[in-house]
Order: sequence, then C-alpha cells, then structure tokens
Amino acid sequence: MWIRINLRAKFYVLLALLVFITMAGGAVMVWYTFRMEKFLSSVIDEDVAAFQNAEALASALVNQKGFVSYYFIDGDPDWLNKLGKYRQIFREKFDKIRSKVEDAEEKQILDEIDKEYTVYIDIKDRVISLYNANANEKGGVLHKEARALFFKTLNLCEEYRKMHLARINQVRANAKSQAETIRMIAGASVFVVFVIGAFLAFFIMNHILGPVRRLLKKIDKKSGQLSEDEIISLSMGVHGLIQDVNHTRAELEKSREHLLQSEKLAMVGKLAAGMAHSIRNPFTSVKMRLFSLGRSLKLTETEKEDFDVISEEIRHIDAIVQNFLEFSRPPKLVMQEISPSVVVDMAIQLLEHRLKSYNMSVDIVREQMPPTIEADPEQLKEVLVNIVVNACESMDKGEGMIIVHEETISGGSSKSKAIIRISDNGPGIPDALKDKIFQPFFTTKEEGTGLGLSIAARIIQEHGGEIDIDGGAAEGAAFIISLPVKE
Amino acid sequence: MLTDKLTNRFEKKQAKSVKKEFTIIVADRNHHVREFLHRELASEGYIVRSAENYRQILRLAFYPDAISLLVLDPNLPDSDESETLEKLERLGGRIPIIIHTFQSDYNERRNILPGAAFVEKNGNSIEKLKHVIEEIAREKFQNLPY
Repeated sequence: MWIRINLRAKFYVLLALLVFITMAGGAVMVWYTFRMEKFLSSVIDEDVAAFQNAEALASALVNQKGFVSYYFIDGDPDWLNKLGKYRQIFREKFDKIRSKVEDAEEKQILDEIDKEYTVYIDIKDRVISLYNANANEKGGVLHKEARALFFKTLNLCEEYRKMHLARINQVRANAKSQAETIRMIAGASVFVVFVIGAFLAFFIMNHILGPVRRLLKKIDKKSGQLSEDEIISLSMGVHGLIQDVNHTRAELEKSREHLLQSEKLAMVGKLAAGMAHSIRNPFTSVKMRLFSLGRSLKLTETEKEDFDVISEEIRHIDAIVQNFLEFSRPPKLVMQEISPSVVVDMAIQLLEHRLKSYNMSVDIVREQMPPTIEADPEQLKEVLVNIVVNACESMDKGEGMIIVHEETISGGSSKSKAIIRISDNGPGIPDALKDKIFQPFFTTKEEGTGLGLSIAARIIQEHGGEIDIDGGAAEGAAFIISLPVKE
Repeated sequence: MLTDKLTNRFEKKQAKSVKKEFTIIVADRNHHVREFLHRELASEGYIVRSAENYRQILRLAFYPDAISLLVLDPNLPDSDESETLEKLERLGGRIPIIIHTFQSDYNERRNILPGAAFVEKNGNSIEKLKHVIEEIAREKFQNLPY
C-alpha cells in the first residue's frame, strides 16, 4: 500500500501526520488547563470555602466561651450581650453552611453539631438563670455540664473542618494523578512527534534530498557548475537541461526536415533509377543497330565523323545510365576471403591495354603479400579500375606513372588494416575539391558522370574500410584505401 | 591448294547443315533486341525462335522441335518469374542456357541459373554471343569445324 503511494502523497501524509500529532498534543494541553481550571474553581473552591466556614464556625463557638463566667464574676450584663452577639454569628454561619450542604455525611455531622449546640445553649441559658437567681452552687454544677457539651460541640466542629481538609487533600491527590497522566500523554506525544519527524527527515533525505543530490552530481559532472545550495544548483541544472531539450528538439526538427528531404530525394532517385532501368533496353537496341550499321555502311569521311560522334555520344549516355543505376541500386556484395594483392593484379591485368593506350606504366610496391581480407573481388576490382582510369584520364600528354603501394598496419587493440595506396604523377587534386570529389554527380571531366568515385567510396564503406585522398596539386594525386584484415 | 579450298567449302557446308539442326530460343522483353538477335543468329544458319516472356519460353522449350539452346535476358515481364526459373533450372540440365543481360542486373542475380553461361548485353555483344553459341554448338556436335 505504502509503496504504491506516490512520492508527493507520501510526503503530504507524513507532514499531515506530524502536524496532526503536534496540534493534537497542543489541544490536549489546552483542554487540560481548562479542565483543571474548572475543576479547581468548582471543587477546590467549594471545599476551601467549606473548610473556611468550618473554621469560622469553630471560631464562633470558641468566642462564646468565658462570657458567662465573666458575668458571674462581675455581674456586668454587657458580657451577656456579647454572648448573644456571638451566638447569632455562630447561628448565621451554621445556617449558611447548612444551606449549601448536600452530602449525607456532612449533614449528619451538622445535625449532631446543631443538636449538641442547642442543648449546650439551653443549659447555658439555665446556668445564667440560676446565676441571676443567686443559685450559684447549682449554677456552677450546671455550668460544668455545659462546659462538657461545649467541648463536645467544638470537637464536632473540628471534625467537620478536618473532613473538608481531607477532601482538599483528596482533590489535590486527584489533580496530581491527572497531571501525571497528562504528562505521560505529553511525553508520548513528544516521542511520537520525534519518531514521525525522524521518519519524515529520513524520507525527505532518502527520497527527495538524496535523489536531488545524486541528480546534481550528474548535472554538475555534465555542466561543471557547482553551488552550495542544492536547489539553486538543481534550478541551474534543470535550466541547462531545458536548454538541451530545446536544442535537441530544434536538432530533431532539422533532422526531420532532412529526413523528409532525403525521403523525397530517395523517391526521386527511385523514379530516376526506374526510368534509367526502363530506357536501358531500348537504348541497347539502338546501340546494337548502330553496331550493325557500322559493320556494313560505306560512308564518306564526313558521314563517318557524324556516325562516330553519334556512337560516342550514345556510349557516353550509356555510361551515365549504367553508373547511375549502379549508384542507385548497389549490387549485393559476394564476400570471400582474398588477398588485396590478387585484386590489384586482376585490375591491372584488366587495364593492361588501356594503360598502354594512355602511355602509362604501373609500379606495384609489394614487400610482402598482405593478409587476406573479406571482400567482393569484383566490386573491389571496380574501385581500383575506377581510380586507375581516373589517373590515366587526368594525365597530360606524355609518360605517366602510377604506383600501387601495398602494406599492412597492425592495429594494436583494434583490427589490423590492409592499405592500398594508388598514387600518380599527374596534376593532383586541388585542396578545394578534395571534399567534393566523392560526392555523387561531381566531376571535373567534360564527359564524366560524377558517379565513379562516389560508387568507389560506397563500395569501400560497405567493406568496412575507408578511402581518402592524400597529396596536394604539386605531388599528383594519391588515393589511400584501408580495409580491415580478417582476423 | 585446290584441295584445301574444296575441303574448306565442304566443311562450311557441313557446318551450315549442322547449324540448321541447332535451334535457339531468344528471350528478351524488347522486340527490337529479339528481332536483331533473331536476324543475326539466323544469318549464321541457326534456327531461331523468339520468346517475349517466360510462358512462351516454356511453350517453346517443350515444342516438338528439339531445342538446343536458350539465350535469355531474365528481366522478362512475367509475374511468376521464380516458378518459371525453377522450371528453367530443371530444363537447364537438358538445354544449355546463356544469360544475355546487363552486367549490373547479372551482379544482382548471379545465382539465378547456376549452370548458365553469361554474356554481357551491350551494343556489340552479338559478336561475343555468336562466339559462345558456336562453342556450345561445337560441344554438342563434335564434328562442327571452325
């Protein structure tokens, strides 16, 4: 379940949980303070008031003591007035307490106090009457009895006071117990918040900051920009990536346009190749008939010149068509293991007559037979013939020289290569043309098709090799063919 | 000297009579090429039949006349080329075949008929074709003079 939740949701869940726990803890504390306040004001205040009333009651009782004795001694009625006043205070206090009491135990004590006090008052009044009637002896005995009742009532008042004191202590103990519970809850809340906080921190580190840092390291490696602030670095990195994406998109657009253009060109090429293929047969028919005519016609010199030009131009058109077809529909290579030297010899042998007609000599420099390569001998021969014929055609009148140099280059970790270098002592290839010379339809010859070297380059590429030009105009031209040696 | 001349004339006559027993099918999609080859080979004394597609080749190949040679440009307009080529390959065991087509086409389909000879089609290929046909005919009729 947790794994299936996405990163943002996980983060929000943890954060919400943390906030909830913190707020819940705070709310419990606030609730507790209110509860305590209410509790103290309602319970403790009542008990304290009752306790104070109980003390006042006892005090009002104690204050009644001695007035009758003083009256007996000096007969001053003012003592009796004061006694009456304190009796009234006691009664008022007592009535006040009685009106608020609902507890049965309290009521019982108060009933006893009331009962004993009433008896005590009654006896005390009788004592005063006896003293007024000068029955001092009898009054003294009764006074003694009243004193015993006084102390009994006072003890009851004291018991009533202690009962309230015990209740206050009980409330205090309860409050202390509740405070401990709250402390436990608060402590547990702190622990839970700590655990969730730690988990959130771990989560943020592991799922956000960690990946951000790793991402930054990658971005930093790429861009070389470093910043102490990860977010700034990330922002810079993302900005760079967006730029890269925009650049790539622009490149992609260009590529797409190029692709469309290439597809169009390929389609045009296909049509042209189809057309070339179609015209070849009737064209050959024309050539056959010309050949037939050439065998039997007896022409004047002018007519013969015209006939030769027609034949020559038709041959030229045929060469263009043939080259174009070969370029647009390259034949499949028929690979076999063969030494490049064998192919060189085949090509030179094939061109023997043509080389003589151009007054060209060929020198093959072969220190040792190069190792075998994987090649189509016919295709490779075509490449060599093409280069040698180009060399012949580029030569000025006079003797020309072609050097074919064969060697093997050890590749070390890569594949060894067989190198065929064909150089001539002709006018060479100007630097400005070196880049164009392998392009299709590029030619410097009046009757060239411009496809010979591009076909040669393609054949070499299909063999996994390379063809290059070396040498400037002063040194003649040199073509370097490198082909991978069969391991 | 006179004996030599008479011998030569006799041999030529003999060769001509032999060639009349040598029937060649010329198959090419272009009728002008077919007609040219027909004319040239007929002038050499061969019996020549023309075919413009594979279907006609097969029909002629099983003609009551014994067919001696097939000169074929495989680029014929039939749609069932591969099936016909299989039949021709079987026929090739019996009748020699010369592939007379463009070098580039032949390069693409070198294994089309493995036992067949190849003559590149171009303006003056008729001379080479005649030469190869004569070689084949000589092999067939051991006594055919040069």
